[in-house]
Amino acid sequence: MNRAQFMEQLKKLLSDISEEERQEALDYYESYFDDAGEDQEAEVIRELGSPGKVAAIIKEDLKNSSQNYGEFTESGYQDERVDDERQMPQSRAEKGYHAERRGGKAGVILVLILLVFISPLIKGVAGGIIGFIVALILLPLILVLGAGAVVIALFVIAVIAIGAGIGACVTAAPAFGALGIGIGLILLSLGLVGLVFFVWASSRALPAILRRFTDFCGNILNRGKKGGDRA
Amino acid sequence: MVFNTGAALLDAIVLAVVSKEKDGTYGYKITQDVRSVLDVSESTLYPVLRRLQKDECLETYDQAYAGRNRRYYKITEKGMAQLNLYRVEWKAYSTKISKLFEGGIEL
Repeated sequence: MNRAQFMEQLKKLLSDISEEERQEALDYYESYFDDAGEDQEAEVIRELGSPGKVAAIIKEDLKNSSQNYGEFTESGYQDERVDDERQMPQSRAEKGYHAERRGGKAGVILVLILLVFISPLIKGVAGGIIGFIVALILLPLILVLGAGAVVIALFVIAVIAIGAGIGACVTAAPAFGALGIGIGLILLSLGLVGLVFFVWASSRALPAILRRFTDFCGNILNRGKKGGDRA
Repeated sequence: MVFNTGAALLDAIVLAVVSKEKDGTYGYKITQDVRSVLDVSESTLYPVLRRLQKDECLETYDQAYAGRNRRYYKITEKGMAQLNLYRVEWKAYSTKISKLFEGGIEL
């Protein structure tokens, strides 16, 4: 692009501002080129950027004649009139952390649960294999649920044993009563250990396993699309 | 350039550059002078000059030069007052920040 083309484009781009403002700006830039000299023409055009940028800056300034152009934002000071590389690097904001899309996980889990329910309906070997795999996959979940049930059972039996032991102490056989209370306390402590395990499993281990599993499923599903960019 | 120059600071810098020339100066020279101390885009300065002119901080006159008209910018009384205000403000601002950077201010 040479000077004449630059000015021609600028004139077109400024066609929607007042005649006075347009002429003022065009005069300024004509003079600017004159004063820079012909040998600097290319340099000036390069420095000014595109006619679009020059026009945008002029119009933006006319639009808000208030003094407050710039503002501080999360990505630093931003002046909407000036948006070139010299200002705060915008790339910093763009390169910021973007969480990977985690959508679709809930969908995967729902499909799995659905598979568990319909697997008996699927006849043949394929159905059997799918059911087996699904059961295997859901094993951690079943184990955790089982652990929870065991914990509850331990607590219930412990309470019954302690209650029975106290009853026995009061009535006839203090020795059996003490045995009952002892067994109850042992069961209670086992239940507490089980509770700790259950809480850990359900809050940490299970989500971790599920996450890994859904990531795995996601990888299988995306393998075709991504073209093996993980390899 | 790491630090950004806000509108007020840019106004102040342009006023200071223009005020150095008693008989006024012109767009290209103003741009070169500003760019000798500050890395700003060439296209940023026209709106600044235009705005300062509208705010009557700068006045313009045309003078023939090399067979054409060249527009000169000259600082006005109002512009000088504005520039002095900026100078005072800048002094306070820059002193505090310099002190902070050099460890002179106890927070």
